[in-house]
Amino acid sequence: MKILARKLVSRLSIEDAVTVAFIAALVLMCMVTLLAWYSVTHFIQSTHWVDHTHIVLETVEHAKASSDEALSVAQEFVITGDPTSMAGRDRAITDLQSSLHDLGTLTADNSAQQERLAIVNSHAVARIEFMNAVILARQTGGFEVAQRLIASGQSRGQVNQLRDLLDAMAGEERSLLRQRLLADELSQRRLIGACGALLAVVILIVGLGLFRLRRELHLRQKLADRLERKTIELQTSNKELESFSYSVSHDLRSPLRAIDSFALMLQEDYAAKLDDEGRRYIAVVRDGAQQMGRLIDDLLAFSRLGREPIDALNINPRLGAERAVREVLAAYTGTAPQILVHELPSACGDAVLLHHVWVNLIANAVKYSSKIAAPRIEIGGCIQGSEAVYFVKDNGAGFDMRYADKLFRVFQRLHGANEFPGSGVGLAIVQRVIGRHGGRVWGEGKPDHGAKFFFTLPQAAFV
Amino acid sequence: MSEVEEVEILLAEDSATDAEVTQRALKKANIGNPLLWVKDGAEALDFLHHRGRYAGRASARPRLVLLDLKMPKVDGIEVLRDIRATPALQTLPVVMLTSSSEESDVVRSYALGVNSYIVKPVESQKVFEEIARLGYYWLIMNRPPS
Repeated sequence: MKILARKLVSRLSIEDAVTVAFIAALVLMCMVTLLAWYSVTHFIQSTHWVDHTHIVLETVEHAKASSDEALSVAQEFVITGDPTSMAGRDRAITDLQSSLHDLGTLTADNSAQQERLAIVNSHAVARIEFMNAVILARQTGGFEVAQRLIASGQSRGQVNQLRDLLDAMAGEERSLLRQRLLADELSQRRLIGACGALLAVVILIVGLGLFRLRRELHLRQKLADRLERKTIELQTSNKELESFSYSVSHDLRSPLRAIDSFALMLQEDYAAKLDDEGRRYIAVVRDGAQQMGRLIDDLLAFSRLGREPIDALNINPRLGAERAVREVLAAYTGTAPQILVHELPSACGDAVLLHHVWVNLIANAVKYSSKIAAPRIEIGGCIQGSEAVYFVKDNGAGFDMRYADKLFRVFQRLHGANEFPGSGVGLAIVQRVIGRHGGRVWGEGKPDHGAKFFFTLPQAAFV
Repeated sequence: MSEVEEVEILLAEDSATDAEVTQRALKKANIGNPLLWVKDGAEALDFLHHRGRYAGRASARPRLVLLDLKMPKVDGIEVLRDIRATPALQTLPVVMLTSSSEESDVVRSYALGVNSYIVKPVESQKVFEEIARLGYYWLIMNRPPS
C-alpha cells in the first residue's frame, strides 16, 4: 500500500501531485469541521440533559417538602385544633400534586421512573386520605381519638415509603445523568482523537506537498541556472564560430582565388611554351583549388545554416520543391531527368532554410541518377500523426544500407569524387536544418537500385 | 600626373593578386577605362578627398569605386560611410567586390547605401566572367549622375 502510494506520488507530475494534495487537504479539513460541528451540537445536548436532571431533582425535593409540610400541618391541627391551620394543609397538598404531575411530564420518556411515579402517586393518595381521616377524627372525636389513629403507626411507615420512593427516583436520575455524561465524555474524546488524527493527516499532506514543491522549485531553479550557463557558453562559442567562419570565408578564399586565377593566366599566356605534362600540371592545380573552394563554400553554408535563427511559418512544400527543382535543373548541364512532384502535405518551417534541404536532396537525386539510361525522380509526402513526412526518390546508383548512418556526417561520402563529384556536406546540411526544425532524416537504398531519402516536419508551430 | 586626373575606376584592394586579376579581367573584356589601384581604405579616401599623396590634384571624381571589405587601416565599410557622408561624393556609384558572403556584411553595406554587392567566386573562370559583366554594366550600360 505504502509502496503503491509512493509509486503513484512519484509518477504524478508535480502539477497533479500538488492538486491532489490540495484537494485531499481540503476534503479532510471539511471532515474536521463537520466533526467539530457535530461535537458542539452534542455538547449542547449534554448541557440540556444536565439541566433536565437538575429540574427533576428539584421537583423531587419539592414533592418531599410538600408532603412533609402537609404532614406537619395535619399534626399541628391534631394538637391545636385550630381550624386556620387547615389552609396550609390544602396548599401543601396542591403543591405535592403539582410536583408529582411535573415529575410525570419530566420522566415521560423513562418507563422505570413512570412505574415508580405510579407507586408514589398511590402512596400520596393514601396518605392524603389518611390525613383527612385523622383530621375528621380530631374534629368529631377530639384529640384523644385522633392521637390514637396516628399512633396506630400507619402514618410513619407511609411517610418513610414515600420519601424512599422519591429518593429512588432522584437516584435513578442521577445515575442516568452520570451514564450520559460518561458516554458523552467518551464520544467527545473519540471526536477529539479523530479531529487530531485528521489534522495530523492534513499537516502531513500539506507538509509532503510543500516538500515536493520546494524540491521541484529547487530543481527547476538549478536547471534554469544550468540552462543559462549553457546558453552563455553557447553564445560565446557561436561568436567564436562566427569570427572563425568569417576568417575562413575571407582569408582562405582569397589565396585560393589567386592560385586558380594565376594558373588560368598561366594557361592562357604560356600554354604554347609548355608541353602536355606541363599543361596537365596546371589543370591539376586548378582542379585542386576549385575543389577546395567548393568545400569551403559548402562548409560555410553548413555552419551558417546551423546558426541562423529559424523563422517558422506555415509553408507550402510543393512550391518549395518545385522552385528547388527549377534551380537544380538550371545549374545542371546533363540531360534533364524526369522529375515528378506529387501533392505535398503542408507543414510548419522556415522556407529559406528548407530551400537548402530540397536543393541538396534533389541535386543528389539528379547527380546519382545521371549515369543511367532513364533517370526518374519522384517527390512525395504524407501525413503521419502530428508530422508531415516527405521523400525524394531516384532510380540511380543507390547505396549500401550498411553505411546508411554515415550518409549524414560532414565530409562522409559513399562514392569516390571521380565517380560522382561532391564535398560530402549536402546531406549534413539537410540533417542540420531538419534537426533544427525538430524533424528526422533517414535514407533507404540499394546499390544500383536507387535511393529514397525521407524527412519529417512538424505540422504545428514548434518554436 | 595626368593619368591620375583621368581616373574613372578607383579599385581599393589590399591583395595585389586580386587587384591584378581584376585589372586583367577588365582589360580582357575590353573595358579600357583608366583605373587607379589603391592598397587600403586610407589611400582611397586620400584620393577621393585630394589629400596626402593626392593633395592639390584637382581630379574629376571617378565613375565607379570598387571596394574590398577587409583592408588594413581603413576598411571598405568605413570608406563607404565616408563617401555617403560627403556631399560631393554622395551619389558616387560604389560596388563592394569582396570574398565575404556573410549576411551581416551584405546588410551593413546596403544600410550604408552601397550600389551593388558582389561576392568574388573562387573559381577563376567565374571571377573573370563576373568582373567583365560588372565592368560592362557599371561603365557602359549604367548612366551615373554627372
